[in-house]
Amino acid sequence: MNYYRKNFSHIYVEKAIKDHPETERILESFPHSTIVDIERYMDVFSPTYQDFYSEKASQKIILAKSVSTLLFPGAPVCQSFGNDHFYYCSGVMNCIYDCEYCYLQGMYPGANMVIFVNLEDTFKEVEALLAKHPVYLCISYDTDLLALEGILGFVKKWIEFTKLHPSLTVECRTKSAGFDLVEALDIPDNFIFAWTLSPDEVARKYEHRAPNLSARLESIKRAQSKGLSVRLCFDPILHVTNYLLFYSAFFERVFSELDIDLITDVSIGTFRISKSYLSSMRKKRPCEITTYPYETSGGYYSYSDAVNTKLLDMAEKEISRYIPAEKIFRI
Amino acid sequence: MIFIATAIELEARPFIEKLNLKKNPDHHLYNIYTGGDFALIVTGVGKIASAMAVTYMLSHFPVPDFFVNAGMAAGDEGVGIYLINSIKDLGSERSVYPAMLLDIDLPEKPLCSSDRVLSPDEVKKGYLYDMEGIGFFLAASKYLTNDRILLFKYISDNGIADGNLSRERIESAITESSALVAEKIKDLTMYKKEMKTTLVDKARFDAFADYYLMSTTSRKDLLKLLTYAQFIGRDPRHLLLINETVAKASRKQAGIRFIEELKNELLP
Repeated sequence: MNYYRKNFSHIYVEKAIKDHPETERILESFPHSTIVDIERYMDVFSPTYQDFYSEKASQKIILAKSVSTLLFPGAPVCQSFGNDHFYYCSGVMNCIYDCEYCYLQGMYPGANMVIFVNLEDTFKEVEALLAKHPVYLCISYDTDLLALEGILGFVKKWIEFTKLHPSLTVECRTKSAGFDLVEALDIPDNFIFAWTLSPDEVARKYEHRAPNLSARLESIKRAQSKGLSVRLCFDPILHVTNYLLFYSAFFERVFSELDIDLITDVSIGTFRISKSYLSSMRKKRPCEITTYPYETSGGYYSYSDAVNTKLLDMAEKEISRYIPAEKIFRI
Repeated sequence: MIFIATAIELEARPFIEKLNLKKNPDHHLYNIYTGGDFALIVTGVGKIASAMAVTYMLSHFPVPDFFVNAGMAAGDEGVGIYLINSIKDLGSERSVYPAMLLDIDLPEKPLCSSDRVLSPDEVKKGYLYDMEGIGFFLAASKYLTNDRILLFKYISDNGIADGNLSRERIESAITESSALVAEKIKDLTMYKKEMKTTLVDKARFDAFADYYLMSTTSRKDLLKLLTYAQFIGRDPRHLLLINETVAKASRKQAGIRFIEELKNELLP
């Protein structure tokens, strides 16, 4: 029996953006939700007296106005794919999926989803950066924007914005099976869809609520059938029981089903996370992923060097059977 | 356990009867009633009285699964029972928000907590008004997460000093509303948090660690490994087997070796 309310039963709306057109449009998608007026999104999102996992069982949406920058320099644990001027945008905080390894659990105090509706201000910020240099921008790190496209339509807006700015390269990272929502759009080459893929055994056990491997592959195939070249992210590769068996069958399946000529590049990485985030995750969600005896180096937890090397070598060896080595990015 | 806070005895009485509570003789500063899964405290009127009583309760009893504030409020919607989804302190203008996670079938309203009875031009349409809500929530949230703090308010009057707030009117509002609120509170017993169980028995763990003369750091490392073992389906009780033939002088090294070997054994 489910004692929890459905996701998005409540939408908290900051007074500052109550009349913003995006707010009105988003609220139209939730005619049965209770709307609660709030002064500041932090009052709902950040109090210390929250239970992240109870909230995850009944996520709420907080519509807010960003008053400071949402553009941040890419973190050293993130792959830049050889791009200079690497930034990410945190226009939505938190995700509808519930991956046990996800750093968002350690980064945010609560599981409710904050959506900054004034995307136009972020676009202005990006344009200011573009006036100085080209920009490589990841727009879907702290959420899964494509998974929210049916509600937000932000991917469409980013695609249209990217089309206008040739010196901007945007990456939209996703586990979604919802490519059909943007399929009809004219997607420029400098807008890259990047799918995170995991073996079904891993997805089923650790990537709760996310589409299974088949559904993700179908979505990628739809993108490729449109002529789009996509990025594949095998990240994090997890050190779990039977990993060799899972991952080698998985890589074979992925590259036999997809059009290899329409793969821009591939990233591989193992589980890695800042010490403070893991510490918070261990308190909030003790589980196989968080209690693993990681080693610490430079403020980050990860597997031992030997395990990391073993996992990445295994992945690189398998993937290089299909993809040229220069297209494989390892972190 | 489910704790209930009411401001006055009149509000408490229906709950005392419906939940079969008895006055607890161990507490004299407050009237506290206990029975079965429930405990009720009569806090007194106002946010400071409410915060003090809630703190007293949570300092003298184990932290409950839920803490509920039930009581009257003023509003312009007519008699009814509401679940509160936001609470504003009219003194500080600060707002707090219960988590609204549980599927409780009641209409909702925002609540304003005031230290005094308001004049008509201060009352906003669509809001409820009380004198305790903010104090109750802020005190309770020091001990419980906000998904475990609930406020049920029933309308007894329009919050304005119209001179009609008679005892009969209050009693009538309470009688009409309290039966349903008591049922909602009983329902909360279904939502009790699952207890986190651990297979690592403390006495057994300590005996093992003591035998191998483990340092604090080693004990922490061992406990982490045993916790991980649980999540990969290994029973920690079967892992802590003391080798009684190890000489005392060698035990510290044997303990360090044990942790390293256990790690190698558990990792994929």
